[in-house]
Amino acid sequence: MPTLRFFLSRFAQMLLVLLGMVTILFVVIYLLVPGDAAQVMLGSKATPQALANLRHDLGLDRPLWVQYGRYLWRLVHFDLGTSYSLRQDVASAIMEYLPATAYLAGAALMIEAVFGIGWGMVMSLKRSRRLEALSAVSGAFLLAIPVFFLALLLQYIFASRLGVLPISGLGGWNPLNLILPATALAAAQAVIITVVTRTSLREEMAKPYILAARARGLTRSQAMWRHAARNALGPVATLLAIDLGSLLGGAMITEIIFSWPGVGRMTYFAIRERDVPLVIGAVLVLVTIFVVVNSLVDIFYGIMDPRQKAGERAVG
Amino acid sequence: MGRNPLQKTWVAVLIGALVLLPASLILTMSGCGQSGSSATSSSKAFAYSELADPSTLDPALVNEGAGVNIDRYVFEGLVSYDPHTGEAKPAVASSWDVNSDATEFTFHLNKGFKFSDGQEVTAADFIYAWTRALEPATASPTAPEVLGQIKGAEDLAQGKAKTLAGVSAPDKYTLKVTLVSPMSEFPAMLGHPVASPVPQKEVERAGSRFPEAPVGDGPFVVKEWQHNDHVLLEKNPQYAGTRKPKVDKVTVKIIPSATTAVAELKAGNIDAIKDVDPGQAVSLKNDSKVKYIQVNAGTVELIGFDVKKSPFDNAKLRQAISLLIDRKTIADKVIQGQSYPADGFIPTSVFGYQGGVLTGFDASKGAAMLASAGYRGGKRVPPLTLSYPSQGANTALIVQAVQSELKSAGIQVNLQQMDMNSFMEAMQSGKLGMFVVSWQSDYPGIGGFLQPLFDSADIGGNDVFNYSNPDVDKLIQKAMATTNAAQRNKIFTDAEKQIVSDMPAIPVVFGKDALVYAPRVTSFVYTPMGDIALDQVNVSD
Repeated sequence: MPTLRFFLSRFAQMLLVLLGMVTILFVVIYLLVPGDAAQVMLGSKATPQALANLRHDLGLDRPLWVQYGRYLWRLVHFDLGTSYSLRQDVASAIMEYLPATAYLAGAALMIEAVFGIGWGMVMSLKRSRRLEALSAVSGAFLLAIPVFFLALLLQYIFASRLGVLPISGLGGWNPLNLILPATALAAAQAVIITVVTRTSLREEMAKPYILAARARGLTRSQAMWRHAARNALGPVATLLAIDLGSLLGGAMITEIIFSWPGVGRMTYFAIRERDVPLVIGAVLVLVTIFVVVNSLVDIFYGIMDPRQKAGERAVG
Repeated sequence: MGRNPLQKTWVAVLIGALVLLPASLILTMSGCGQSGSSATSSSKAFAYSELADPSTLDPALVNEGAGVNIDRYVFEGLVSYDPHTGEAKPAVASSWDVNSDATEFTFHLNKGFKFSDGQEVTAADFIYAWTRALEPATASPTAPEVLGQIKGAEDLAQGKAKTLAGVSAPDKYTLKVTLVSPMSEFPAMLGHPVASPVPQKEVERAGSRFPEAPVGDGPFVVKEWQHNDHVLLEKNPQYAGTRKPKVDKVTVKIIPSATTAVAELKAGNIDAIKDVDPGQAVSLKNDSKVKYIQVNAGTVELIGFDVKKSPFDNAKLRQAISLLIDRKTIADKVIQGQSYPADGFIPTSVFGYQGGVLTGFDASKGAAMLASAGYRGGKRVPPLTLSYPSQGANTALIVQAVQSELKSAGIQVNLQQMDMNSFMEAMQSGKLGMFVVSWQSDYPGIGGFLQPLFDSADIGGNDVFNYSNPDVDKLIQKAMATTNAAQRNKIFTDAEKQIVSDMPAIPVVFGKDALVYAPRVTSFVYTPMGDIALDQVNVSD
């Protein structure tokens, strides 16, 4: 069963990535983050005796390998531990913030796909110098501008000045509240998708089978829609799939500026509070989503295109 | 179209994005409470912003500004604080009696106080709440400080006892409390949320969900809490106390970006910002669209010494350093009015403040004192290391100013910035010689500053200076046993004078808090405890 073997090998790879991730996070946080959870929980006025007692109760006075072993043991039982700062089950804390992040990431992905692919198609069809120049300048601007600055700029223009969109917050899941943060988050990646779509489409459009199609009387646009787009959008799909993972994890700054109650912002506060279980839990969930989405794409490719199984594609 | 596998993938990803939106909505509806149940048009609503979500609303655990501010108005303890003076006033307790040496208190409870679920508040609810807060499993950060003086508290906290020996309820409306040592300011400590009553039935029923929507007996109830977004409070119809709210709803918006908070205020979406970023203070001060206020906060910034470590074991050197620090320049020029010069250890906003115990900046006296300490012209003073935590923009400015002022007197100071947790650990384990301490009392009383910081019984705890003076200890103990407030404050001031002459720590500045609010806010009080008085706030229709 080559398909099953392929699936199992991808699954094993995924588990290895996750185990490596947990190990690195655990060691890095243990070695590099000073202070500990007992201090965070009991505050600055705690007595050394109270701190020592709590450290003992939490197992923080045990050697690193014991703490790591206990963490892994709980992890295989799907127990991410208890957050020090929220004093709440880590998994349920993450589940509380994940919907807002998924909502934002989904919207950003749609903006990337619709604007990126749409504009890329237009650019590949219209060979106008003005359009090229406009696209190059605006693309460079959106790629170069830091996301926090773009976020503040959008907020200032559309919310504070024009007052057409809400400034921040989830607004009770009002879609209007989604527009600015999703746009800020999607902007740079939309440019990349535009460029990839355009380049890929132009390459396809120059191939002999398009010439043959044109010779049969199809217009450029018809040839693109009916033939070139199918083949050209492969790399774009891969880019979007990879980006879904990073969108879920990389929205920290956007979530802070737009007061978005998502996992990125939660992770930021967890790091500030030295909440090791919450930080590891959040990163683990985000990495799992990233790895799972990419593995699914990989497996999907593998099933659909037998060449992948022979190892022709290098993407893992 | 549609037979190509790659294009299928593309479609699949797009569908994935489309699925994520409704899926997240479904997840939310099932997981969290429904949000955005906005106020009806006839009700009065007030909204303010906090930088961070409360970590909890359980009164036994709440420890940071946002949560304490909310819990002070969701719960009502035996006392509550006067929003203007900080004086402890009867609340659930109508009055109390105290024995002659301030070790036994009998609180007489008002009848008719109810929790928001309708249950009556009785003495048993206080006993349950205090026992729960002190139990080791709760790991309360504030209970040892506020309730630790009660007889049996230590045994309970260490797991040696299951009940709190020092409290009893002779009847439903009487609560007797015995302390291990005299503490006349004990009633003043009981305005902290950790001393509030909680309903046992509800705590046990709700379990880990109790902190999400705690049932209290205060003027407001928690209607909904969407983490990292907002907390919605509504008037508690069962409330029987004197702190009757003027508005029907209060929304605490969690806005981590200072810029965003200002934009929300100017757009009229929130009415006040609690923690104004110092960087925005100047522009907001001159903005006619908002009202900017600065309020004396009950915080003091100290430069402390480990008085057992050389050269800080030389009291004259410590006094010389104090005389060489120009507090007014630091307060007015360096931190631009976000603090004011300290004239002792007790901030002016603290109930019972006497003031004026400290000699301020005097370069010539400082030089003379330095000479009498054996360091004429600062010569032979080894380079000093001043350690400070990385949190707080003002702390860094203060230590830089002190460094430059001492340099002109010939004393070289090296600055050592440390991460907060490492700093705390190093300070408490006696690894630092000269360091910054920011102190805020858990209750508005002089004892909350002098006792924990300078009573030698607290060496190894909050007396991080290793400071011990039997005369000071005696004065502090005497003040703690004095039930007459005026006499007590006088004795405390005598102790403060003695501490100032020993100078184990140098008071530098007292903090100010900056707030802004919208013109539609017609009544706005910021309390000496650092809370927006939610019962006092009012808005125009």
